[in-house]
Amino acid sequence: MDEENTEAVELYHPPFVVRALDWIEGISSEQLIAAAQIKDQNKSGFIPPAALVRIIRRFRTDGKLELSDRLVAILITNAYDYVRRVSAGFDVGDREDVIQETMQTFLTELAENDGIDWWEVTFHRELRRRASDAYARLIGRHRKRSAELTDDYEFSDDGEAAAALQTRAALVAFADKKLKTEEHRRLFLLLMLGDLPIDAPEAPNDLVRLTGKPRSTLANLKTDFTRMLKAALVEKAS
Amino acid sequence: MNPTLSNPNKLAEDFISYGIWDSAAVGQLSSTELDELFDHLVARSIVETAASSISPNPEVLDSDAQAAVLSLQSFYLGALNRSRASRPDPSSKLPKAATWLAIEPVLRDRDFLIRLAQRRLSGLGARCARDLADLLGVPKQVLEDYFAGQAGENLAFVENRNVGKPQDGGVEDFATALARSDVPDAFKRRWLEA
Repeated sequence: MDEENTEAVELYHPPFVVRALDWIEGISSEQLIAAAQIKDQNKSGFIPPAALVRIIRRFRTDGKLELSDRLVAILITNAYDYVRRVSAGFDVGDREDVIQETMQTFLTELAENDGIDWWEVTFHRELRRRASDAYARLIGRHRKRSAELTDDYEFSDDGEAAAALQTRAALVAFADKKLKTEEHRRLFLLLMLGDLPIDAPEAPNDLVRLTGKPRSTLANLKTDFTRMLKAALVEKAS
Repeated sequence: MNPTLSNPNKLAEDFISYGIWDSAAVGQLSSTELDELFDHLVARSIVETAASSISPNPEVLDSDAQAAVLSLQSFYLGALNRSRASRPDPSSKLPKAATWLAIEPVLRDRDFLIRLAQRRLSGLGARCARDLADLLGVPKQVLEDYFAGQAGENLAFVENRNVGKPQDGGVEDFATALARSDVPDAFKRRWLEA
């Protein structure tokens, strides 16, 4: 059992964290460092990152700073690697900014808070949330800069931007009614709202690389989504 | 602003993970808020899609990544030093009601928490002390020293709403109070079995 298989909705340590915390009570500092370095979560002795957050804070508040700092170094390495991989679909120019902002948010909370928080419950989910927050903020900043530039030139788009927003809202409302699985909703958003091309080997990234799915599958899905949308519009009009 | 929509990341997550989409609320959003929501929907889709296709086990980092990690370690130590300067001594935190009430969302029973903080529950096990120290973010020894003090002594609590609880002003058995409380079962099981 690990974080991905746990439906953690309460702010307390889930069983896989409790087990790790109980287990470390009986081991030496060196054994603990060795266990924290285990990368394969299926291997015996693996310490989940959510438990490692608690252990780091526990040693820190107990005044065992050297041990706490050694464990922090391991946790940062693993968290950085995870954020880097889940950010692989972002624009290359933005990716490093997203990774830095995500990691700095995490490390600030790790440093400032001694008591329990969600990093000790759903560690990877928190990293994913912070990464998408960081990316959305970055896009927002890009848009604001564009808008300021546009204002300087007194540009009017005759309502095109507002119409585009309405179209996107309608697309998502459609997806809510017609798409029943998480994977389909994600793919729908990427194919119908996102900017990444389906297959562009020369580009830094594309949906084939992000999703690991063949070009034909993604192209067929886009066709299916478009067909479903048209059918829904016909149904609405009649 | 609609409180549901003050967190577009949450709205995006609800939609992607659970298929929950509040069309009526979305219809009330300003164009800026809608933009923000769509940014989150796309960002969240990209992140969740990447996460669903990667191995959960870390990879070996190249030299650039290792340099970035070292820089982040320095960032953490800097953040730690800054927060330490304003951090109170752990033993001075425990007599304050705010310290205990901060974990009310976790233990979900204010009356139980207040009696605990007032040292009016006897017979706490080692496991309970360990968990409480973790929840409160204080050293276990400091917590044990605190519990070794006189019941009700030096406490800044002006309120003790022990509705339906013994009003004897004295000490009650920890296990009895816990069993009767609204504390989540996960804690009850752990703390009663020790």
